[in-house]
Amino acid sequence: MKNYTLHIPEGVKDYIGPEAALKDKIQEQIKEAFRSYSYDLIETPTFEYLNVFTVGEGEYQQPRLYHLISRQGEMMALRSDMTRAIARVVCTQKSNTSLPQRYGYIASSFRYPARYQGKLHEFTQAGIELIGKNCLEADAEIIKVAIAAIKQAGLKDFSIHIGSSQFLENMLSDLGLSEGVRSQVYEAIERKDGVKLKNILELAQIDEETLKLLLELTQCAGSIELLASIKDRMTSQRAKKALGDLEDLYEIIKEYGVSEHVLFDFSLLSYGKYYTGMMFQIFCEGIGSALAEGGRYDRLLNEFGRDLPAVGVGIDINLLMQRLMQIEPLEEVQTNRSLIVSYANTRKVSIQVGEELRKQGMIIENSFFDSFEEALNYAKEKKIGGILHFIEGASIEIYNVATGQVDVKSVDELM
Amino acid sequence: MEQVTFALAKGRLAKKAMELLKELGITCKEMEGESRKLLFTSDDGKYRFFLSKASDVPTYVDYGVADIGIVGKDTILEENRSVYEVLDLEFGKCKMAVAGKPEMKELLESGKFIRVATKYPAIAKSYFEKFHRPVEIIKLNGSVELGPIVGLSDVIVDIVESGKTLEENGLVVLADIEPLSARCIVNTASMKVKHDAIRNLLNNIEDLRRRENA
Repeated sequence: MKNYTLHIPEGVKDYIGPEAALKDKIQEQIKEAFRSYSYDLIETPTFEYLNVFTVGEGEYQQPRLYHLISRQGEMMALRSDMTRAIARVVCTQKSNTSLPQRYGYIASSFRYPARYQGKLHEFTQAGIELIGKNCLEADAEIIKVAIAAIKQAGLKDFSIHIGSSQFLENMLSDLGLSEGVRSQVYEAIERKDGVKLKNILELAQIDEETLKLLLELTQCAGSIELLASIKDRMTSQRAKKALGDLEDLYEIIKEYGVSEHVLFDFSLLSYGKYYTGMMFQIFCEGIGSALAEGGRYDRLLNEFGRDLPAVGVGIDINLLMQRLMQIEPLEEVQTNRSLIVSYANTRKVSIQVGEELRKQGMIIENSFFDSFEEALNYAKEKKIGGILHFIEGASIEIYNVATGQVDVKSVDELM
Repeated sequence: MEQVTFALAKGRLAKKAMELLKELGITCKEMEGESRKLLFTSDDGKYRFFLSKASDVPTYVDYGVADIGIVGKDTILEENRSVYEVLDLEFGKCKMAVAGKPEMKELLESGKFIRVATKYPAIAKSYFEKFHRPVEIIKLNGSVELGPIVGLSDVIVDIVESGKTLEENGLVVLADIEPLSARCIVNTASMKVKHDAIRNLLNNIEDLRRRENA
């Protein structure tokens, strides 16, 4: 057998040094944003029974799941997304639990991409779910919290593309297409195949005006004005209503003061069948896929036995980090750290000073080197900011590693 | 304004694509000479181009290092990447088909176990799955026609253009799988972030096609 002692499998990675620090930092910032909007943190098991991740949409999900078989022969899977785990939690509660419920999480999920596509199998998502309320205010809150979280993590340039699954569904069903044609349409959309979609629509018996509009809609995005113009041309009243909802949603987003990030996307090809109302994606330059994706999913919880509406968003932490690192490359700088060098006769006082400085929020590392020269070399290599050298008695040499400048201070002055 | 980057499948498709763009006034002198450069910029500075092996084009587009890719439908089906397929460029027309010696038609229709040699294992797998045919797929990297001739496989799944190669080797098309042609694919994020630039370009190409067909 091959010896894999020093290898990690395809699709997983280590986070060390500055990358680990960045990940930790943005996760904390995002959690802070979630908490401030009253989303309770939730943690669910890393693996659960397979059904949790397959109920409803099993067929599509299964080949991508990390399957496990328990000792008893039960089918399990590693978590493929948190939303389903949260849906399970909510649906096992007593039915008189007060609504809405707000949950937030940061967790790894596991999915197989196609072979050798070079994508992570274990990826970290930060997300929120608002369960038990179907209103535009709730939709707007999710969008606002997603924006707040991404901004808090340090990203300023991004755009949000809002669409409506309901609009597309209503429009397509009011066209009077046969069941067969409709399922072909959805299949083409699922595969993102605009060419096939066009062929199907051209062959279906639709009046010329509607066909023209539909073909335009296969890739259609723009600002709020575009929304109005499409609404005017719609004949389906239900599709019109869905667009009206988006206009109202936009008003609330404006009140939150974040409408400058918002664009509308009615592209048939961005339709997600999982969603039942508004849906959105967040994009930024330099990243080839959506940084965050969310929307209203009023059907999912029904699969778990409770008919509850829900809306949520998931932010891809790995992509967010990738973008932040493009903007500001990581550096191995530890200038906010200091090293304490002491000897047998100064150890006790150095410990007291060290503890005090840590209380003040400084990062203090103990040196275990025998000589000051060794400690200095180490500090230079690790780019540590300063050295506190306790030579003897109550005076301390404070050494600036970058400049070589030395200050002498007494213990009292430092404390 | 930001640049739009193209990944082009090396060879005939790339040449055709550049001819098409030329008609829209997008020219690239850098690319016409005998250069060893890998990345080219259009004369107006708005577009960048690079050539790659056809099967890598969807990969570059999936990752967003190219906004637009021009590549055959065969490659799109085989690579199965998450990209938008937005336009049929209607050149490089051919088809994906099952081929073999004429007497294999019976075996193929019998539903018995067959061996299939192909450069396109994913396409072959999904085609035979549709008919619940038990098959053994053998991946080859070139001259697939050899398979049935030397007895490695019963049939092949491959691109058929004129059918000449098949004919010269005593093979015939046994079943059509799908018509193929050059397609334009777009990265999912570019479609949103660079929407106006890409949309304009696609509209212009479509208009041009329509005028040519009229």
